[in-house]
Amino acid sequence: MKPDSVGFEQIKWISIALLFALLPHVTDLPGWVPLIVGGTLGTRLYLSARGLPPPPGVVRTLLAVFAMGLLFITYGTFNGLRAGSALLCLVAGFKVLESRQQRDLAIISLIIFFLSLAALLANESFWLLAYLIAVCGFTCATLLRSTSSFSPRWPKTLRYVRRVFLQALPLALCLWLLFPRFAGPLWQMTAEDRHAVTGLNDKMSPGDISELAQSDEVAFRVHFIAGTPDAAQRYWRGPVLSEFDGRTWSVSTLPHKALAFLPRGTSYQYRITVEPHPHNWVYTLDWPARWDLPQAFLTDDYVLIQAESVSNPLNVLATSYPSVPPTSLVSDMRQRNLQLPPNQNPRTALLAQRLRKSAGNDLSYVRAVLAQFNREEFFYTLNPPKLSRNSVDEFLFVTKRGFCGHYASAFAVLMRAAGIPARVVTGYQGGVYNRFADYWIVKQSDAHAWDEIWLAGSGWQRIDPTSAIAPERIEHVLADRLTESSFVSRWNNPLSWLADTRLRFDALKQFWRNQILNFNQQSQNKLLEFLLIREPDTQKLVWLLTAGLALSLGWLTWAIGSELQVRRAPLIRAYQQLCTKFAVIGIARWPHEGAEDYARRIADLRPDLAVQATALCRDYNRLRYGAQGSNHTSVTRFIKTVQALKIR
Amino acid sequence: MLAIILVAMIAASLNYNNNLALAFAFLMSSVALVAMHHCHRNLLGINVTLNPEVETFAETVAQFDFVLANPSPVDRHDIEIHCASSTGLVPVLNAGAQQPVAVDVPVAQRGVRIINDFQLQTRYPFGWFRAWTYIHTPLTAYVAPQPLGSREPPPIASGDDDFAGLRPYQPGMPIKHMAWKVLARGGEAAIRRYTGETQNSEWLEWDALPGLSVEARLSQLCRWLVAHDSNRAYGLRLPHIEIAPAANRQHYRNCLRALATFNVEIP
Repeated sequence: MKPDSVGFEQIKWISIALLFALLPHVTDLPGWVPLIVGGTLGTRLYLSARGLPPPPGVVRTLLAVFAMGLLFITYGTFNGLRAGSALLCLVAGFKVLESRQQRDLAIISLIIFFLSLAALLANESFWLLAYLIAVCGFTCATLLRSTSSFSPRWPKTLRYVRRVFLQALPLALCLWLLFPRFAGPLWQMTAEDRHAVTGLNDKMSPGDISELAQSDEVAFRVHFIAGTPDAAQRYWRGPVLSEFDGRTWSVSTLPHKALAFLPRGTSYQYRITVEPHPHNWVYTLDWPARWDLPQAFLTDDYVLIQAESVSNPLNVLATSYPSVPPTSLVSDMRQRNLQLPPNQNPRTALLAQRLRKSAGNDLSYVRAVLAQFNREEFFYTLNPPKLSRNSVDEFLFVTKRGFCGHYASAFAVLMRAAGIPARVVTGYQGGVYNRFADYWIVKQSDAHAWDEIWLAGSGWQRIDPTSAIAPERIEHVLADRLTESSFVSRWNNPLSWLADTRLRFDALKQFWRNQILNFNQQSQNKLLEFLLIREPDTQKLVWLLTAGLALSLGWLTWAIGSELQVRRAPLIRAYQQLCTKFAVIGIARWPHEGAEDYARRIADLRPDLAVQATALCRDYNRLRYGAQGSNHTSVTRFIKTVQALKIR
Repeated sequence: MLAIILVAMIAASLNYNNNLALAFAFLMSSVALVAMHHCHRNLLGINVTLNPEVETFAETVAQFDFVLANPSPVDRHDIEIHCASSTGLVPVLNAGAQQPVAVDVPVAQRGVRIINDFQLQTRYPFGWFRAWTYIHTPLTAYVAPQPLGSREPPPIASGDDDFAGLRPYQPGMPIKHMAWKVLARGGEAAIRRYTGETQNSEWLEWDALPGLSVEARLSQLCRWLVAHDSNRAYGLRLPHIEIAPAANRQHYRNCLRALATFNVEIP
């Protein structure tokens, strides 16, 4: 066997490392990729266990061409994250199949690094990072064991690799903090479809059961910078549904920019971190006035819209006001918010006309409708019966059971039928406060729907018809939620340690996202400001990076080089110990006295100790001042001898 | 290759604007840098002692003996010595330890082979980097001729000398007089008998081999030299060269050198 050829042991360990690196990809890969890779690894292991060479080149080439073809059929491209990862997996597999030399192992280790990176590009979790660093450390250890001519033992190798990684840490940190970030991607990437996310939709059909998913997932997190609104104000505005076809509410197809409006009342400034969702709206507290998204704008029904869908976690600094001054209603806006499909829900229309007539004015009519919801046998439930074509009629007069969407829908229809402009607003209401990190968690289960009506003189008013239901008829909520997910209630229970743990964990997650994942140009500028550098810009950043690199590289060179130096300190300490031992019997070393003179004096005073003293002092002189530099083991021996020395 | 992959990793992370991946890419790049330093350190401060002059025979190898010493408190690993396309390897050189390593350099012709420098090299720890250094110390191999030839050694110069035949070995006899060469040829164990003390010396003479070519003569002399009993003094006479009789290792080496350098331009 040639010295740089690889045998069964080496292939076994690098295969294990490769399998560890493949693990995070398995869920994203088509099933046949792990199969092929497993097959190639198995084949190579089987062959090398019998001392056989890799299969002939023709077989390998055919197999590779076949696999690449299959890959192309699956994805239609080799580009992009998923196809690229699959390609890398296959390449690694084939590389193992053909590996005969240590050079091949080094290449496989590099593929493992890249595979790990690809996994991180797909999933930004702390645990994944920790896992992948461990995998790469293991790969390095494997590489070390395979390329060295002696076979170092595993614990020693792993300790060594850990040492290398720790020494790399300062340099990596410096690079990460100071390497200039770019605003956009360097080149266009193929769009990847993210996992489907639950959340609000641009449509709402209360007739279909449970449109709003009652999931425990986080919709967004909010940190209030200035002022915290009370519970009655915490309505988070999502899509506004103005179009109604008798069954389904949907957003109006033509979004217009909002007219300028003068906000009133106390402002609330907050930072909201919106989880990815497949739409382009950004949740804001009711009546958003300012935001720091340059591309986003406010529609004429006050929904903050950005150009693209929120595919990555979005961090927005926004300011909202609890109320807006009355504005006039332009005619097409009035039209849109009064529109009702003809010949549908006739009983509702009749009820609206009757109530409006007896109420006298719009405001008392609204009160009368809400009183109706409160007085009559309306129930709040998450499992309402299905409704047919005249959904509102059926709900108001027959089933009388529904969730917020049913009430918002019925209320809006009742308003429109009475000539009051009304629309359904969907969004979130409430939230759980995380006292460990001062922010609110709003979850998908906090999804809500309410109404806005336009009253002459007071403008758009928020009405939440669901809150009009008699409290004794909302008991289902708790029961429903408990059966839905036991976690939901625990989130809200302030005494449960589990809730605390969850909140703490969520706070950590939030920190991770805000400080680590969203570390960007602004964060770097803040860092520079923190370091008292005025007017931070990229050029100054690069200067700082250069300085930081020089420092950390210098440290690295010093740290690694200094390990070679024999430590002088232990030697001197041992000599002092020796002097102390002689001092105890009355022969203290004079400050000006050299080791040799001291030994001579000891020999004169105590001839019985002459041999030991002379030998030790000579050793000390040789170790301390010898031309060869002191030798590590003899220093150790000197220290041991001194320690063992007993003088009476 | 390593650099390409690392740069690609950093570029990909920047492109995806992914801070986590970037952190990972920077960590792995830093690990590579640290590995480079470790590779360099693996050679740093090693003391090399060697015998710069060796004697050998043509068509064999010249064995240069190196001793690597590691005075530092850090273990060293996998240090290779490259010397004229031959390689020696020290797998482990512990802290404060010394390790001998022999490098066999093949030699073809009789003469003097001078190797101007040799190289210390290591790929430890991960094989990603190679640290090396050239040590510019000439290594000299005196290549004596191959010990060949079928002529008998010249008769012993003075008659009253020592050797008086063999007699079978019996336990208790002085092992110093054992006839090893007979034993090595597969014969019975035997003891050399001597008639008197070794006073007179034996001469290996160029002039005793008339009618042969220069190289053949040298080869024959070399064969006699190699086969000679090392306990008895002998001298070597070549044209214009005379090495006085002696019977020690250094004398033997001097004789070999004389055979190697005879009529050869020393570079």
